[in-house]
Amino acid sequence: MAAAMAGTALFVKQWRKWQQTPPVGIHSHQAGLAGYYQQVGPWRMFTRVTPESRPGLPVVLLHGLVLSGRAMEDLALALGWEYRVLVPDLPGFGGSSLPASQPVLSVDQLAEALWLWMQQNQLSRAIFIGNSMGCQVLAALAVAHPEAVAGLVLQGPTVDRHNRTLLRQIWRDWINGRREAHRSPAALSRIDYAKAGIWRAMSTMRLMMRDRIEQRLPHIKAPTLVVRGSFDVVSPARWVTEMVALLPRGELMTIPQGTHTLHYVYPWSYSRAIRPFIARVQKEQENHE
Amino acid sequence: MSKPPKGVARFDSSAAMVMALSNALHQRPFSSPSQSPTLDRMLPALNLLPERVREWGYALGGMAEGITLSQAQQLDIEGIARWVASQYPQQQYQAAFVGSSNGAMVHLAAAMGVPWLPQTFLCPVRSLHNDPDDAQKGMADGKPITDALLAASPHLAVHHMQDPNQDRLMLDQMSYFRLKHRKLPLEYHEFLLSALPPGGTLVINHCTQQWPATRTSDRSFYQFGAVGGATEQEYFSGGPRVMEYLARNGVEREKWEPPAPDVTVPEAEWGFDAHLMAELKKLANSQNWKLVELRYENPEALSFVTAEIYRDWYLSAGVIASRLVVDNFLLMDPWTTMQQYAIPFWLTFCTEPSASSLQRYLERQPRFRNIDLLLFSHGTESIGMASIERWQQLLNYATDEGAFIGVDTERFPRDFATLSRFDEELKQRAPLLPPPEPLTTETFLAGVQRYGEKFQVECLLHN
Repeated sequence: MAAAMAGTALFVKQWRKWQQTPPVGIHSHQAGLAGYYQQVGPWRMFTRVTPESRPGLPVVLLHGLVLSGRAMEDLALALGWEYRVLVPDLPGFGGSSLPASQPVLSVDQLAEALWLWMQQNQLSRAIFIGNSMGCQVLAALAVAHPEAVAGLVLQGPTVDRHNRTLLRQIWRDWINGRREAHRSPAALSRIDYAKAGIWRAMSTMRLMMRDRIEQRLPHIKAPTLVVRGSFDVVSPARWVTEMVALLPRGELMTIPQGTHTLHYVYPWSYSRAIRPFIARVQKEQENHE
Repeated sequence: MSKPPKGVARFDSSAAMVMALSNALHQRPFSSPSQSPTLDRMLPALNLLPERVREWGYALGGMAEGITLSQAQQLDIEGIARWVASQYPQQQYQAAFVGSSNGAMVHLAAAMGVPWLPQTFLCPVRSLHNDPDDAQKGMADGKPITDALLAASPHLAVHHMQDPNQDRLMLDQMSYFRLKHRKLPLEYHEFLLSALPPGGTLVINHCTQQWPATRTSDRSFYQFGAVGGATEQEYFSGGPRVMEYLARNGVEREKWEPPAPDVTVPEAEWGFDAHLMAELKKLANSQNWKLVELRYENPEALSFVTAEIYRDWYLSAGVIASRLVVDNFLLMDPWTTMQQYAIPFWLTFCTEPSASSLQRYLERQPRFRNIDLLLFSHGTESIGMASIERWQQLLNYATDEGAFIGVDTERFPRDFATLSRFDEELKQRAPLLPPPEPLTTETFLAGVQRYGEKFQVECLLHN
């Protein structure tokens, strides 16, 4: 009994410590990645930004479920060589965490918050890169505000419509986790779970499962690159191919040996792989202007 | 320092050189090629045993590194590449080497403080009760393993290698498969992109050494014999030295009868498979890296150039180098060598052609005051092995003292304890001082261009 109480006390202590973890990792901070809080409509949101101001369209990185923009920091730094990169945390997650009393936002509401965030940061148009649930939010944004989206990179998009069950998704996440155990984002997940709170994480997962990205895809006007790691079981090849077929301007890229969170596990290889697409969108934008 | 994953042999040149270089980059000596304190403690005891038991113990140690056929089927190529990349400090470098294993190149990389990613690694597979001299059977028995390794990755070339002359002891219980990356593994890719900023230099270490082989598929080859003391002709057609060697080992045959070679391919251990070249060029161009190719045939050609570059490097730090450390195969310690302001001269093996290389070098140089010689023991009196007397003759070139370092001359070539002794003894030879400022890429390139032509080392700039 005493041991159980001591264990619980220790866990609570650790949980609080995770909640208080600074939103920008120490190595990213040393590499020049800055962060700021701002009031965006009713939400207090946190954004990371690369040190150099680069010409051209900014690139916005959007995290998936549970993992916050912290998992995008290496990718931001890799892309920061050429582009101005911003990494917001969606309301309720990471640095933008909310008290449990605040409502859980649906995919559409998260997309709306992202659009508000763009207004607040004077971004009229940007190139977006998302992972997992971030792809669902980006698809919603691209449909609701097509003028804001110059190009989209959807990496490991969810939810596979052929396996829309929570149990199956958890099982696939677990297999994926084993495949990226060598550079696992699990430690970050723990921090982000603590910041978001279990209830918000679970409720968002439920809303995410209900969202049907496939219904939005035919309405996305922006050029869209769908990226899949060949070892990603969460976004299987059949599903991703089907998605690309639904997109009016979709293209598919497979990264051999890549996993579901390859933006975190292999940020440099991933950034190099998508760079030609970003350059093409940038050029398209210049010609457009 | 973590142990290599299953499927990589620590007793091989490639893995050992990665560890030697990574130790230098971490500013540590390379004192334990085995990476096992227990094994290091056992080796001196092994040396005391009778000859046959010693040989058996050595083969058993090697066998422990071997994997099974089913493990070969699931070989984790990315895991192996990850292990290599994780040996080096995670930081940005002025340059990086990729390609052939070569001890001289390891010294150059160590002086520059930059990493090297090997193209080739040795995957030893357990295969009990082999006949090292039966090449036909060796090739047939190796077929399922080759197929398993080919299936493990579509981007590997598999070189099944059988050298009854130099690997006699190990071949009793295992087969050698050298695997060459024809495309960069994702882990190498990731490491290079994160470690080399735009403007950095990627150096391809391209050893053009070839060997006749029998093609077993579009990506696999069977190589009989290897670079060392015996000639290609001796392996394939025999000769008096072969006859005498076989008789000495109690083998009832006058020569080997390997399958007829039908192709000439990059030599399994040292040669560079040029399939990787196009990808490296594309990568370098997209990242704004300078791409440099070091191209040479004889692995020891680079030793001459490296020794010259080291001499100039020390000189620029105000030191006239008077010590020479002669490395042998995987016995080397770049960090200690630099700390002693000694010039490294790497030899592929303990054979007569290597002894001749050293002699050629010594004859052209002002006399060294000290020569320290490391000598690898491979457990068998192979064709072309240089005797202790021959090495002693070369040590006599020193004006003050030429010494065997960590070598039990009585027990050579069965002096297995040398693996645990060589570095401790090397460290005792001279005071250890902070090495000069790292060699810059520009100085390294200028050095290769200045001395390369003289020793048949080409330096090609690709962009």
